[in-house]
Amino acid sequence: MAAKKRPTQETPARPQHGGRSVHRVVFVTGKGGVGKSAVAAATALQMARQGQRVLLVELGSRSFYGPLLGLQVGSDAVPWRPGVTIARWDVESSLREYLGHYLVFKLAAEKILNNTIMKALVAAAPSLAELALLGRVMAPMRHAWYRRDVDVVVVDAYATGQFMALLRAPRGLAQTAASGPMHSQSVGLTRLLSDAAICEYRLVTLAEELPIAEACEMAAGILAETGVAPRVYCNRMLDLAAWLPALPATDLAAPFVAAMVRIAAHQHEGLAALDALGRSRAGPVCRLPLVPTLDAGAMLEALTDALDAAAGVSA
Amino acid sequence: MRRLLQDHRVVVCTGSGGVGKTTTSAALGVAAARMGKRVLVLTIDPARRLATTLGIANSATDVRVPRQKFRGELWAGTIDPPRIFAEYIERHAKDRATVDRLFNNTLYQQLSTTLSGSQEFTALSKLLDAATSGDYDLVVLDTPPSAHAADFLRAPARLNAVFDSTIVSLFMGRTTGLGLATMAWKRSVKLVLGALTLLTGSSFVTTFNDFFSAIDAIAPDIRETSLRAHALLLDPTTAFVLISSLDAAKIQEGQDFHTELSCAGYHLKTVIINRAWPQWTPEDNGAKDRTCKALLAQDQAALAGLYNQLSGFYMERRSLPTRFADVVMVPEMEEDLIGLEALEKLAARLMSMA
Repeated sequence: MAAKKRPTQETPARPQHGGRSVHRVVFVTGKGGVGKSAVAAATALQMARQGQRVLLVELGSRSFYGPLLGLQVGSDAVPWRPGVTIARWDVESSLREYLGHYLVFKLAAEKILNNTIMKALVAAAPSLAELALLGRVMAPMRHAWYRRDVDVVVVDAYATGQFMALLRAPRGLAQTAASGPMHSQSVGLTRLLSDAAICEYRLVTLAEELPIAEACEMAAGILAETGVAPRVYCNRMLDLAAWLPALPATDLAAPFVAAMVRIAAHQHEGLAALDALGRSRAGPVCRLPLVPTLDAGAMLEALTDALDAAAGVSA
Repeated sequence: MRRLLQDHRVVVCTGSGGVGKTTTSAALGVAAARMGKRVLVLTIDPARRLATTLGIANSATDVRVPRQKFRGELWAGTIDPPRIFAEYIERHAKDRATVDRLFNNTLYQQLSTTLSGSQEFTALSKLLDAATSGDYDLVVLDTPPSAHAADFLRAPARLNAVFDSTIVSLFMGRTTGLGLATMAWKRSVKLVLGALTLLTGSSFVTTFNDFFSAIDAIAPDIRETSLRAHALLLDPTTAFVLISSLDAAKIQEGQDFHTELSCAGYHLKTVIINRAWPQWTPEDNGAKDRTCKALLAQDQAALAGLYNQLSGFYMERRSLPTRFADVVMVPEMEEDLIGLEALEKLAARLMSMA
């Protein structure tokens, strides 16, 4: 594919790696059910609005975006919005790509991948699967010949536990495979994941006790593993006044107001807990609103507006 | 809902992450205990507060939940995969040397925590022990967190593939009884090992071989346990419950899982849609307008605007169509779920639905 003209709008400079200009990577993660995929899609839209070419990648065997956006999402990227394409990468297709690069004969790679024993092996050594996925994300940084004509890859990554396993996989494998291409690959990946010029981590949470506790733990985990402080996004916030009235229990609106008072308290406590993490351990906390609509497209646009507004404030 | 707890010996709670599976499992256990059952709730990685409520915060064994006043009896246990896997191996390995060799293997150290299927395997082996112990009338299992509800069912098959004795034999270089296929198998093993050596350096392959020779001794037991667990899951006295939240993607996923379960012969009895809408969601537009007026009467124009927006959203969401035949929609609880009393309230609400 021929390189496209550079966008004219102001865009963050492409990072350099190994003397080449390469794309950035944004990993979006969080506890299940906090709206991580929606925030990842909004992140992609936000970057496209800045004129960047974005690849939004979801991991795993099932597509979340396909049914939501009415697309057929597979291993090859499909266009979604101007400047944004979406792909779904599973372990098998990534491993195929990975093996294909190392084994001279494509036929041999195919043969190996279709092998029952290989399937059992991939199931047995999950770090292998994770290495294949990360290897694919980072391929343009690792190989001069690998072309991916985008400015940023937004990864709708796994939820908490599985995401930490993904981050830790290269280090673990570097210990298991003490030499060979997989060892150097693992060491290289560990280094890339710790490079703040290339990788950004976005951690999505809700202003509720459990998600907040998990987010605090995870922010520390990401920082410990990569040295990069994640940006925290507190999703589905309500814009509530500092003072809410106390209505008599008999008032028709009392249950609603009582619920809002509870939510306000949770939001207050949640943000305080995230602030207590400190800016050195987690980046600034960005509030995202609850978007009260069932229309996926409208919801994503509203979230993107909120991300834009937050970026404007912090700039 | 009462029949779900009355007529079954095992209730398996499935669902993807973040839908309130663990809390719902605990509430189902409370409901069964209130009905007079001796019930065990098995949870995986419960939130600290729930663990404290159940009395399992610092306990490795099953405990009788403290401060209960039920007709029956509520017990709780946690599933700690690395520990259970280690116990399992100690119980089944023939000699100490095998156990040590396995525990010292780098691959095992990674496997026991991250091996796909190992969490599910340990959950199933614990379920099997509890259900066949005769100690309980009912066991409620909270399944491991996963991106998709269906992962739980595929896990044993994945693990079986790993421990399939034919594959182990081949790695071990034993080829008896395979007849004509032997040569082809041998060739493909060589191909895979060759590729691995190229990719990882030889030490990885050595570790791998070590691992397989150590695991070989207990592979038949692992297979046997998987098969018995599978039979238990298919038994008519085992009911599956799918827990979901009310959004389009989760519902779609739930419907796919529903189909998958039915096709595979499992008994999916109930779909619970958790925190479907807040308690205060109005029944109809009339109720909505009256509440809105009440807020305006209190000079709360901003709150009235928010109320209008949110209630419209929740009312619309409430009318989302689903294909489920037997579905229970549970509104959000009006308070935080703290303590056994709150679980009792949730249990009472679950039992009052449908």
